[in-house]
Amino acid sequence: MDGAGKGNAVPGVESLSVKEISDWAPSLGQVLRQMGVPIEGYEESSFALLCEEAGIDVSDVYAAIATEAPIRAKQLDVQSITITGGTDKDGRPEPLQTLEVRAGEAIALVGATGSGKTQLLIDLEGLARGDTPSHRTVLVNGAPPTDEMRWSPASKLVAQVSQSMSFLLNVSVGEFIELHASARATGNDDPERTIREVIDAACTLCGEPFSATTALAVLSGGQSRALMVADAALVSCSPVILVDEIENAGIDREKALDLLVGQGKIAFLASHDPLLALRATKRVVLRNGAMQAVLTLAGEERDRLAWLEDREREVVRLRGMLRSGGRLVP
Amino acid sequence: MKLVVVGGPPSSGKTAVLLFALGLLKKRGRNVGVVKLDCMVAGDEQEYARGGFEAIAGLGRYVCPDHYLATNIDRIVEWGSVRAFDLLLVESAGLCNRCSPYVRGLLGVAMMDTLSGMRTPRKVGPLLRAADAVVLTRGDLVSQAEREVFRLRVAAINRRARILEVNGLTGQGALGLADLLDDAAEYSDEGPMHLRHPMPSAVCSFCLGERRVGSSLARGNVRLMDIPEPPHACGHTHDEKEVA
Repeated sequence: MDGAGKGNAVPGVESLSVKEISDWAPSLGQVLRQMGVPIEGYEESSFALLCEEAGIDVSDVYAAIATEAPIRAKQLDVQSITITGGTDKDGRPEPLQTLEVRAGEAIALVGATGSGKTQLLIDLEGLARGDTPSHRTVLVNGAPPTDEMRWSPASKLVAQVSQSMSFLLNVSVGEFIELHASARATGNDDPERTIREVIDAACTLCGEPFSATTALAVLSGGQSRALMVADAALVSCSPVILVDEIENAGIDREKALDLLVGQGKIAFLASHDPLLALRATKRVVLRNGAMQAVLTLAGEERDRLAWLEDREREVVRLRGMLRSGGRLVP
Repeated sequence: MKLVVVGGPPSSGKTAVLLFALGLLKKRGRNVGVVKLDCMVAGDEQEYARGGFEAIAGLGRYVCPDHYLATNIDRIVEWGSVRAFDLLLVESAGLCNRCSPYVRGLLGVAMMDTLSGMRTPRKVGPLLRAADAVVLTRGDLVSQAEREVFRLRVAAINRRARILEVNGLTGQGALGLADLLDDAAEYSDEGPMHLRHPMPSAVCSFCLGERRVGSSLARGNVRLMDIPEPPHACGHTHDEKEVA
């Protein structure tokens, strides 16, 4: 991010409309409002003209949106993720040597426990360069990722919800969200709003609410997981999302996935849940640490999926009744 | 010969992480030697030997490993030169986190355990502040968000350093460290080497083995703690303003 967007680094931008710039840097409206310039009704106006009329310096506005604009611009760019060149646990080449996933696809990872689902997610999170136990290489848009993409949280393309069920950091929930937003350089135009939005989202996923002053480490397993989901969706806010066995979390799985897997994102979901496996665009079968095959929903599986969805609705209804202290039979 | 100094609190995963990175360098045909400086118990040099690296150990015993390193570095370099290593790596298991063992002009790498807590980067001081690169270990045990927050805390203390994340169990991320070591500066024998940060002074009776404790027995470089005056018998301090 060094130097990117500083001062008048993007020549020609002045000629764009307010709306065009705020598509590129969503915090523009907020920044202008803070400078006393409401943008409502001026969306189609020229940005330069608006600044001139309001008597503010264009480069001041650039400086304020600089932390966000280059990152968002980068994040929109992921068209494909390719996993290639892996080996199984015995060092033999994995049967599925290359897997290419396009923007908008959700991939379910299926296989017995210990079959390598989590390792594949770890490879994706770190954008592996052959330096993991699986020896896989991960390519972004067909090319090796830059070091910045791999390591700098502000440029990361991947958000991950791991199987971890607890936090270790000795801070409050609010401080944690603010720190992470600052690491990711997202939502820091208005930290208090970000904190509120993340906590609100988390509390709709788990039954028992918590607040910004709750200590991070005392959250229950489900609350921690709910916060991790909300944080990955709203703070990490990346084009690639990795989710490891969300069904084990004791949180509302449907709502969690709605929050995480947005339009145009690439999602990888490791799961033992037949419903998640069938709803995905494709499912990848793992065994002995290796990708064996890739399957798409076919033939009678569609009917099975409809049947499973009916059952799921019923199970959710019964679980809700039991959780709220009711009886299943009147 | 490249000369690299690696420091970090005990049990931060230094040896495990270095074994993976050095393994990658060995595959590139590099001849690597290791010197491990420890406090009381040796043994890590055998781990390096098992990994196929020539390694020796030094025990500081009653001297801090970082001070011990500063005293012996010229002799260590001489050993490495005779052995004609491509890379000589010196690993110090620092003690009190007030020293930094890095030498001017040569690559200095700090290791930090992600589980050590949010406030640790601030507490370790020059060990972290004066490093060229910081390796974060055990990140696999926390959520991605916590890993990123810890990284931010490290970056706040040392903005200049490259920050790497390496898993000491699987070696994930070790490639970045191997590349860094391969790019390290060569040792040059023009005049004495300089520490980047002075060692704290600690020459007193107890450094010399005194076992009876108390201020009346301390000699040499003695620092007395500031302890507030006790309150009067009536329960009030004798001058409220002065205490405030």
